[in-house]
Amino acid sequence: MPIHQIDPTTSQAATELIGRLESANAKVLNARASQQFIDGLLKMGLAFAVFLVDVADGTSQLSAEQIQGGLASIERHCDQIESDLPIAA
Amino acid sequence: MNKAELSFFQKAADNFFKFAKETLPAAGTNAAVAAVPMIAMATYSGAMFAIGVMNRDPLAVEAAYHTINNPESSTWLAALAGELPFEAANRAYQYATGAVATGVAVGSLSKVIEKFGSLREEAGHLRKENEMLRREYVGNRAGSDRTQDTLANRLSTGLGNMNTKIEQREQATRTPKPGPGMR
Repeated sequence: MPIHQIDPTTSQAATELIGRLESANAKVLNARASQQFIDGLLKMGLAFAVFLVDVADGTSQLSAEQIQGGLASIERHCDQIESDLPIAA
Repeated sequence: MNKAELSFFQKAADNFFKFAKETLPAAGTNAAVAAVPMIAMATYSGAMFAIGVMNRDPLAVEAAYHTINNPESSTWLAALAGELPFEAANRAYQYATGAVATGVAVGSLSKVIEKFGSLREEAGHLRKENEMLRREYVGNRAGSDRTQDTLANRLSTGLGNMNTKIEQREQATRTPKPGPGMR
């Protein structure tokens, strides 16, 4: 029971981020890096995923401001992984 | 973790802590905690793991890996019995217990597994924790609004502590940036 309506643009943004986060997670999973590094980043990914699924489905009970802030954090997370992920040669 | 990994991990963790602080209610807002229990639980686990790994405390790391190394035992139940090797982890998990005991909708985790092939295993750990904890609490002491209230209180306190810890870290790592920056 959402306590407020989530506008379609926001749900759409969340849906797009689901695809991006999934790719980022896959990149982490396949990275030749230490186990702690991989596990830590995936645990962050899990919290982001729960958030995104709720927002995409319009079931999130967070405020509009919290949702925008969360989406921005997840975008930064994906940016970092897409451009800077250290992978041992 | 090698140097490059640690430096990347710290950047990712700082971003994650920002998310945690913005998304999770601070202490004293039980209703808000009850509204987002699964995000609270996942975020809390992630933050504790990251803090443990970054502190490079062997006991903290062992605590962080409890679920993975002990597939049949619940980290949360072990913590409630005070069995985790890292005292801070014990306390953190005790606080966080409210997230699962307030009647979490596991539905959102199933959807995560559906949409994120990459997270099947991580989400599985969290779901198992949730199930074990529910059996313990909801099964034995269920129905008591007072129990749930107390647990929600503990979670709320724990989240407040986490926010404080994150703030301390932010202040310790804040470096002056040249120019006006992004904001």
